[in-house]
Amino acid sequence: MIRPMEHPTIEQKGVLDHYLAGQLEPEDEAAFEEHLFTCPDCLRQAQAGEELRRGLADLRGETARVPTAAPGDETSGASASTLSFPSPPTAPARSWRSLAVAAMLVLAPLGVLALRGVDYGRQLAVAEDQLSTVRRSLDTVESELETLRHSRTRVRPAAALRLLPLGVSRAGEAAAVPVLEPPPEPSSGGDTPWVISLELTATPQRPLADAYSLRLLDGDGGVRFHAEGVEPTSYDSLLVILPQGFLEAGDYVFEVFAGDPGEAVARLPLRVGS
Amino acid sequence: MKKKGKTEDGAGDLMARIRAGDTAAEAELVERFGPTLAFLARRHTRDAAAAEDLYQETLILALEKIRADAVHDAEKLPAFLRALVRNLALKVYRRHGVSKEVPEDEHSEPVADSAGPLQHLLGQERQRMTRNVLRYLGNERDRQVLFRFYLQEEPSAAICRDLDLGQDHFYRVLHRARQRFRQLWDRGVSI
Ligand SMILES: [Zn+2]
Repeated sequence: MIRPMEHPTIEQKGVLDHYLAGQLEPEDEAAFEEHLFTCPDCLRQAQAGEELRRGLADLRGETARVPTAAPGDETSGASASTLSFPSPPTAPARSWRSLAVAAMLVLAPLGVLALRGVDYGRQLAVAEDQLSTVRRSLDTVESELETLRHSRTRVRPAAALRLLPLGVSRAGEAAAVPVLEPPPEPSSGGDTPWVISLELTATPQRPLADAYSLRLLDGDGGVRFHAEGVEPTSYDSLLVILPQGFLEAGDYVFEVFAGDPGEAVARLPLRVGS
Repeated sequence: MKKKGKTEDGAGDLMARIRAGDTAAEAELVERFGPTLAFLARRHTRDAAAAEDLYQETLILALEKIRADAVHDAEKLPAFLRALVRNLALKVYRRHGVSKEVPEDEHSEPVADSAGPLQHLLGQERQRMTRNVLRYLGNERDRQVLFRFYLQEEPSAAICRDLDLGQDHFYRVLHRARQRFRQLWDRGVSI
């Protein structure tokens, strides 16, 4: 039995890890859970740890732990195993709702970082000006990205952003070359940048690299853009922001290399419409 | 960091006010104890929607019992709340029956449960953060530590022996993984 169940002891004895692993004695588990009512620090760590545990379970296709009945519980006798029960469709927990909104806030800065990798001073200045527009539009990006990821067809631009996913479809069928269409009228959205999401495919045999380098080649093989040290986002993609007007009409290819310099992992064609 | 008697700070007064029908006191109780109750509800359920239901049900019952003077000792309030959420969780499992979860294909996308698209999206985000943590750990042995301890619930000593790890390293891996996940979680994003 771990006593006293107080913060220093909890940290010293790795109580949280044993709790998450379901390896505390029932008395210790009870004492630790009671401690959570009075210790915001432990609570926060426990929340993150539980989500990590669930993330691991998701990846392994498992589900929630089930409470074991403590001695004296009126419902004692239930066994601990991996179980599930249906839940009615209701609103999600608040913490996750805010997470969903926050989740996309990294997109624009990443793309601009990618653009910093090259010496296109004027375009960079334009892109940075456009950043404020981008930030205002991030809520839209979130839903767009999810939709696009599932459809993988030609893109309907978001309200204020032009978003294009490039990647191989999961089913492996030959997809049409994605097209960047200029806005119908230059005055309506001509200043908004393209957000291009280069989708990476991680497999157990080939996990994602920590960083990638990119090259954008035009039809003549000229390098129009390059960037090194681009880290994948949590969506397993590399994000690039290109200002409108940066590319003229024609065919292009994004080359993606794992590491710097590294192994070529993808060639992603792209067409800019006229 | 926390001393005995911490719960007592004003909790007795809070309970007395709830008994007297003060709704502001009820709100204070929710603010103070709600986050931990929500966590425990989450811990005992499969998805966020079920956790939300369990949380609500627990709060309603807790307030009823406090109003009815079924709990007197402020010091025992955490133990009371904890027992309540666990008992309700077990009852819900029984009401709905129990069934073994069929493992999904490891490489398939997560099932969205009975919850909506947002739940599905959040599940995906959690997976991506977790993949980020696994990348961050950098080697297969450390990844094994996470899966074998947190998921397979193997004893730490057995894992250390198997993977030829010291206890210090073992706990450091868990700590680093949790800290990394928390960092991503706090920012709401993984890069
Ligand atoms: Zn603590």
